Amino acid sequence: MNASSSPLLPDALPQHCEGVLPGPPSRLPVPNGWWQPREERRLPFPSPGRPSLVLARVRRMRRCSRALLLWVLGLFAASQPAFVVALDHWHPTLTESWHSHKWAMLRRLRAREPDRPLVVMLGSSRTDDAFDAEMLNGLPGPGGRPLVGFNFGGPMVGPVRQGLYLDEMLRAGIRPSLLLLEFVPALMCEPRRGLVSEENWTLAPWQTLSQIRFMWRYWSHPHGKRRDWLESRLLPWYVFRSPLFTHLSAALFPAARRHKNKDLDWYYWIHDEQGFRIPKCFTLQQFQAGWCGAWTTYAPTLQRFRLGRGSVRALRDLLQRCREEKIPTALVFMPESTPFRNWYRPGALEEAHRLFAELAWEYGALAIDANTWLPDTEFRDGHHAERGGVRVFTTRLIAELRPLLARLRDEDRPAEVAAAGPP
Amino acid sequence: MLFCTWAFAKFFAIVFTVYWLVPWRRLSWTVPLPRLRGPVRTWTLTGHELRIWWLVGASFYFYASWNRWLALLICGTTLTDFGIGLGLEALKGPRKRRCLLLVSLIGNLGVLVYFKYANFFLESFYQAWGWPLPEDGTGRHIPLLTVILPVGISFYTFEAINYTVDVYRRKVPAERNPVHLLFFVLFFPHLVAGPIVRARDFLPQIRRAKRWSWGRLQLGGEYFLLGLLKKWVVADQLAAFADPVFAHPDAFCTTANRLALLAFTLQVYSDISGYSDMALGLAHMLGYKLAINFDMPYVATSVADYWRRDHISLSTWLRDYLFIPLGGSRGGTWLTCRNFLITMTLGGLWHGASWNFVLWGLLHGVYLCVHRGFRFFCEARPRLDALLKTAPGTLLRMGLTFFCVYQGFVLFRAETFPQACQMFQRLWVHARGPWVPHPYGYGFFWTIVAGFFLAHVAGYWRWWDKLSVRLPAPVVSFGYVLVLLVCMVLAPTCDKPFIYFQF
Repeated sequence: MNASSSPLLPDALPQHCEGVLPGPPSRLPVPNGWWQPREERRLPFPSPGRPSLVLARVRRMRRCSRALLLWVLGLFAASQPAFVVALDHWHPTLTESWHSHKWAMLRRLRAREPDRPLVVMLGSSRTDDAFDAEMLNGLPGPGGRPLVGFNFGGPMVGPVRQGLYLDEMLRAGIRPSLLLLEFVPALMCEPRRGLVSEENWTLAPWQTLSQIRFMWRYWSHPHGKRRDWLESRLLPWYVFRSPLFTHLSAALFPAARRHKNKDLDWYYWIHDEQGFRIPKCFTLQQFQAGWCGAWTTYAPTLQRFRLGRGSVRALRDLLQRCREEKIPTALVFMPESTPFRNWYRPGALEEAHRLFAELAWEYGALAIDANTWLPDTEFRDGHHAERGGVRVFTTRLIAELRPLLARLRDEDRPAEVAAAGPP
Repeated sequence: MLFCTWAFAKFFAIVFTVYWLVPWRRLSWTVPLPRLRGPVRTWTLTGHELRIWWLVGASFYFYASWNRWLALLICGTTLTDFGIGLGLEALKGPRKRRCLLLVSLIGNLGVLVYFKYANFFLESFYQAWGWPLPEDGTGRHIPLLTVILPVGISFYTFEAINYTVDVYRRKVPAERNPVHLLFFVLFFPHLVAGPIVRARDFLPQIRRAKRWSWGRLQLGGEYFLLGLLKKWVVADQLAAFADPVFAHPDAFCTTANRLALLAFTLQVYSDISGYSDMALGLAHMLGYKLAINFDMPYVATSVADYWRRDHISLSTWLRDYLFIPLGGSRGGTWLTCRNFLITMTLGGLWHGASWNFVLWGLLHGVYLCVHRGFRFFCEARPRLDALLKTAPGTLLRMGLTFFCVYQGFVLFRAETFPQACQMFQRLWVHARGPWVPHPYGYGFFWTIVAGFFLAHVAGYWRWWDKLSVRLPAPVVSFGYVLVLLVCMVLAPTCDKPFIYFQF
């Protein structure tokens, strides 16, 4: 830059710049003031040579800034997809950790017991808490072989994601001999702002592209989800910062490490080998907090309850898929406490029961209405079963399933006889 | 709009792109003005002027997105000051000029007092007489006013005052272009939380056309990134250790209280200086230079030095427009102390409408008086003076200054005086209790504190400047990207407003 031609530059060098650098002052790039350093600090520690360093930086900036900024853009742009690739291939547990956790357990179970008939229950955290799959072990199943159960419950999983997970299971070659599907009206509510529904509580960034494509057709507001998903793929370091830092902090900070046990999921619970979430002991304050939390979360939704069209369609498609795949299915209306049932607006629960019965009849599924099975004392927050409630629920569920299991064994018997050959 | 939100990022991207796309050199429209008689007069609009109009419009939108009526208030007061400035320049008689200046001061301070302090004074009046506070305007007493505190009113009021006072003192010529004056006050980087810009520094910059500079863009980006690091990684993370304790000091042990106060001490500096750095960065990216507002105040060796390093724009404003007009340090020890106390008390009141802030300001006034006395004491004893200027002596002075400032922050942060007393008691009288529950524990806290300390050492020794001059561009870029990724990973889950927005 020619100092004499520029209208932007002052008439003289600042005093501290003169004589600092070699060459006559007039050949120096005369500063325009925007880089002017701060006042000298008065400390006894020897301070670095400020004027030469400042001018060197200015000259460096003038030479290399464009290249540097382009490098910054390039490196930043490259770091984002690199993170997404690392996430998808090496550490999928970072995002929806419970799902990856359960998948890994299911695969291990299937690898261990490839021949035993598999009973899978799909559902939300209610299923996760209430269904002790181990109690099914050993019961006679189709072909006289002992059953093995698996609890595939997870947070806020409704009919849309139940269909997704069944689809993933079938594509992975895991075919349940009996499928139990949870029916929870609260998760099937029409997705409106501020209300609970499966759609509102499904975090698009945590799904893969194929999962988004599957769920897209059932969502009332798919474009918002798409925007969230795209944001997560363009800026994954920002969108996934919470699980990323939680994961990193376990390595860095001892206090966080106490929580980061490999057996614990992101809610700090332990699951057994068959996916059942082992109940914890709660204090009275935690019970009270649980009930208050449930009221705060669900009461506004249930008071304005309306069945969502997308959820109903997803459940119909799921049951149709089960029928096409010839997978025996039971639809289970999950237990709720009396106060919880009272939060529904008048007529809403009856509407849900009617839909439940209609779908079960239409698609030939076994209808198990467990809505009033548990006394109020067996809930820890009005809708999640407590320790005692698990045993009551699972025992009664097995009792309800026995006729279906017997029918399945009988259906299998002609095949056994044919396989055995003529006497 | 907070600087560290997506809404602001979109806003700034549009403003920045359009601003630099306007050609400053080639564009020029000459418009003939309507006339009745006399020579033809024209008005020329250059690209540079168009850019200024664009920034004024963007700044108005920035403020109006919060409240458009209060944005009009700023415009109204600024245009009034514009007229007063022209009057001050045109008038010759000192009496008339003084009257006009008084009109401006009363107008500006009146607006500030009405919006910010009216309810504070009314409530104090009620409490002084022992009257219950009226609810919903009922009762026999004067009801409290329903006013919204305009964001940034303390800052732009002081800028307007400095303009009119400088015009009165003939240090700055009156601005002839109202759009330029609006730009000076409304310029969005410094509008809501400073730094308090001086007319004599900023108005000449407005008249100079801006040319694109990659170096300036890099410098602006560096400042912005530094501000983001201070806000997201330091201030917002330390808030988790401070807020629960200040809400209920009795619920935590003494050590937790002390660490919470330390957390707040670092948080408030990082929050405010982070905002200032972001403001500086944004201004640089648009071709404007704002004054540096913080210069590592926690390495200050005395309270006087602290106020030369902390919130520099405010402390220099108070010095030039309050302390010096009161007499400064010219009138002897007692008068100087009186001036310190008045200046710092009003400076404390500026921070917020609460007696806690007044007491905090008064405390710093007392600190300055004590420091002055001690300085004279040391100057009379050369050996002691020399001892205090050695490295261990300097460290001792730094530690003592930090301790004084640290204790003062109890008053600054506590919401009420009884809460501040509770906190002091908890700090000084050993008490048992739990620590603040935090998912990452106090290891995380100490990591941030260590990082803060290391950053100060690196800043003082200018390690980054030395490295960035020697390292190749890809390596330096990698450093910037790494810092940006750290900021993104540690960004808070919900937007936390800047502390100084409440001022």
